[in-house]
Amino acid sequence: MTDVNSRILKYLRSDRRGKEANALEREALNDAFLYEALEGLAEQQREQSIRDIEFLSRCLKVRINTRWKRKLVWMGTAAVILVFFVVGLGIYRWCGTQPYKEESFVYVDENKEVAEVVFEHEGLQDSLSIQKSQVTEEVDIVPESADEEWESLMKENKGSVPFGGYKQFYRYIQDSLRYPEDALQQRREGNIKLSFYVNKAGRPSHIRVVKWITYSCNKEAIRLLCEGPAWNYTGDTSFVLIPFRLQK
Amino acid sequence: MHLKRIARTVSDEELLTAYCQKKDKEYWRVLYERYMPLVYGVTLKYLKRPEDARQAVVCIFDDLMTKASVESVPIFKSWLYDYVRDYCWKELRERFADLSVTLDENLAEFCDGFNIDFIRGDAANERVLQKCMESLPEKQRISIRRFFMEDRSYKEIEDSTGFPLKLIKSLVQNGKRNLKLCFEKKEIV
Repeated sequence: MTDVNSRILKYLRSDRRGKEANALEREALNDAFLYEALEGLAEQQREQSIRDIEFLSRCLKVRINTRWKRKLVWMGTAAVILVFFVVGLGIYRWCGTQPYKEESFVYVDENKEVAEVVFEHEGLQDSLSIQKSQVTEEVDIVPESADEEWESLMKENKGSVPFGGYKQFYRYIQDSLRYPEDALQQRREGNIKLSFYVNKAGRPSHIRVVKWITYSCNKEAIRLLCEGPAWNYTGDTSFVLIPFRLQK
Repeated sequence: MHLKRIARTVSDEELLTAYCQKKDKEYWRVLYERYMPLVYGVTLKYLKRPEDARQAVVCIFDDLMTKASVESVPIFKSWLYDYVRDYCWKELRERFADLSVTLDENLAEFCDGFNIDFIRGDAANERVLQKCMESLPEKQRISIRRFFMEDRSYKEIEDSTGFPLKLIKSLVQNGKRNLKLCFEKKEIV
């Protein structure tokens, strides 16, 4: 059965001429519905009728979709946005908690022998975390500004500064420093001087011990630097003093 | 959508049943779209303005979409046609606040079962028909000949004869009626 819809469109488009137009008109003589419709259409410009019929076709398609498909589309886009958001959040968190491994090389020369020790540690991306650990023994280690070594270091140091400033940095050192057992027993103390670069993430890297006390103290100093606050990125070598002071 | 491809061969009633069973509005839309230009044409005839006709088409679409799942519909096309006329009547009554509004009622005579093509298929009947043709007034004869035997549309007849469109329509209708009467007389004789 040929679609009445397309036949009427053909009828209009052919400007109501031709054998098919005649056939439609003949049919209309026996079909009241068709007859009245053709009467109505005869009263206006065929272009208007064609436009309206095509418009109505689109309109009805949208009309049934509006009900439930549009809801689906909204729900779909909402779901996609939610997924992106969750993924983004996940990535952000992941970056935050991802341990950041780095190696540093400690040159120890206790017996005037250079030994290379690979010391792996984990640093934290979170620049403002300051670890508090149990202090094995009360040690007063904030360097005096009158300290000669300190002054010369400051002059030397063209490089980075820790976030939060030195005061906060040394407060962190005081809270976190775990005086090594052997150095405690041997009553060894002093300043450990570390040289390092700051990488783009603000973490100290390529740490070297420039001035040392004991191997264990060196390790502890490196640990403190790595786990401490971030430094601002320059390109230069930086220096820092980690004081180890026994209580008098 | 695959529905479009099947739809050509599926009957109106089958499509309607499928809609009622599956509750898929797409079925309804495909069914309605078959006759949508007819709905448009009829509403245009009575409501006159195209914007009113468009709105009516959409309203009727909505109304019947819900009705279809409730009522039992033996013949879709007549059910649709009845509703369209009813709708137009209600609209006109509301608009003109005139309870005497009526729609065209003289359409019954169209379905008179007098099929000229069918008659012409038989040689004997063809001769009777030709005789009857001669008894027609000239304008009617010309119009009938062009319309039924030469397959010309109203517009084409207007082009060739110069008769106005409305006149041609009534000539064809009256001519057909006269032929029917003449034929029936001859048959009896």
